[in-house]
Amino acid sequence: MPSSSILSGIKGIIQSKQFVVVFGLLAAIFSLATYTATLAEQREEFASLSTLGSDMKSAGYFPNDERTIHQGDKMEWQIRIHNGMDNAEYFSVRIKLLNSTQIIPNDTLNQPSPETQILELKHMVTKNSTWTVPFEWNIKQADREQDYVIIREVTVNGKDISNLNVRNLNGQNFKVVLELWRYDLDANDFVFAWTSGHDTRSVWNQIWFNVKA
Amino acid sequence: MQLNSKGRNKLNKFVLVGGVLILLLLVNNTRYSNALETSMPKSAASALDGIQQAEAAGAEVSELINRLNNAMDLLEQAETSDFRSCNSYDECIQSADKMFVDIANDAAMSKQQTENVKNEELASSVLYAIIVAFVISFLALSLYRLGKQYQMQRFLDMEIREK
Repeated sequence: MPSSSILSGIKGIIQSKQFVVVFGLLAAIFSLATYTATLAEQREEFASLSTLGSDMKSAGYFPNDERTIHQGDKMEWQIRIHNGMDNAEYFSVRIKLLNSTQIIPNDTLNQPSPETQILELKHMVTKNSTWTVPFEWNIKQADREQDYVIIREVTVNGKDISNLNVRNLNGQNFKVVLELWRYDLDANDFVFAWTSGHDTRSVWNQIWFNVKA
Repeated sequence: MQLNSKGRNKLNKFVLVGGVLILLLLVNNTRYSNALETSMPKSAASALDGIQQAEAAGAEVSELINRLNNAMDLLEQAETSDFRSCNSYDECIQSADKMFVDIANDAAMSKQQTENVKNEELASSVLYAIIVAFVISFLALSLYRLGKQYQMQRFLDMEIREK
């Protein structure tokens, strides 16, 4: 077959209406598919907070696994925060020491505990990564007044936190509450709850203990 | 009597204006003290925003995040007077502020570079899709025409036989 007839054949195909229609359709479909593939996948956003014992397990929180602790007993916990949000997030973990009557965070209303934190740990976490921070603490001073045990001073990560006055009857049912807050640039402040899809979420942990003084 | 009444009016106006000014000052002070509690300096917020935007664009931001955490640590050292890597409140604040500005600039640059690379990649992908569409259309139509031609040839080569 002479090359001129091949060329005229190719030209005939390319200039045909059928080719223009098929090519136009395929080009549109392929381009759209390519563009769609580059779009970010929509997924559910979340952040998690877990408090682990000394062996990075949800056990071994207290010496000899006894929930009743004494002045000077050392607790070696690990706090793990996983950022499953769509972006890097600046997190704050607010640690509060409460007695049995003080208000804990409200899951239904997504409100934090109104009590003051004894310690705040802040860190920016890349998306899809986990930040682990040690939380080593002990009760430095606890006094007994009649039937009450009062925690006056604790040491957290080597820092003494004094002027506390957390009291409970017979030293029962103290709580360490850990709240996860994230920085909201629009609010220019840390927020306890955030929206994920149509839901509002908040994350917190609590660990109960008794004190013998 | 007239002078006294004018004087009183002036005094009333003065008290009113003074009261409003004091009220405004109090409101501003309250806002400031609330803002001091947990909000971050403007430069830090801008660095954080920059990092989030760069990450949303697809940039690798782990190094920027490390630097931001270091700068935040300097701020905390200043706030708690626990000077470990700087010597005074002013030095900590100034160092942190400089770091935040650098981070914001680097994040903006990183975002721009990532967007450029992404746009180039998208353009080349679309071009590739168009070329593939062209080749497939051409081959499909060629095959169709060849098939038609073959059928026509077979029809023309047919012989009519009388029974």
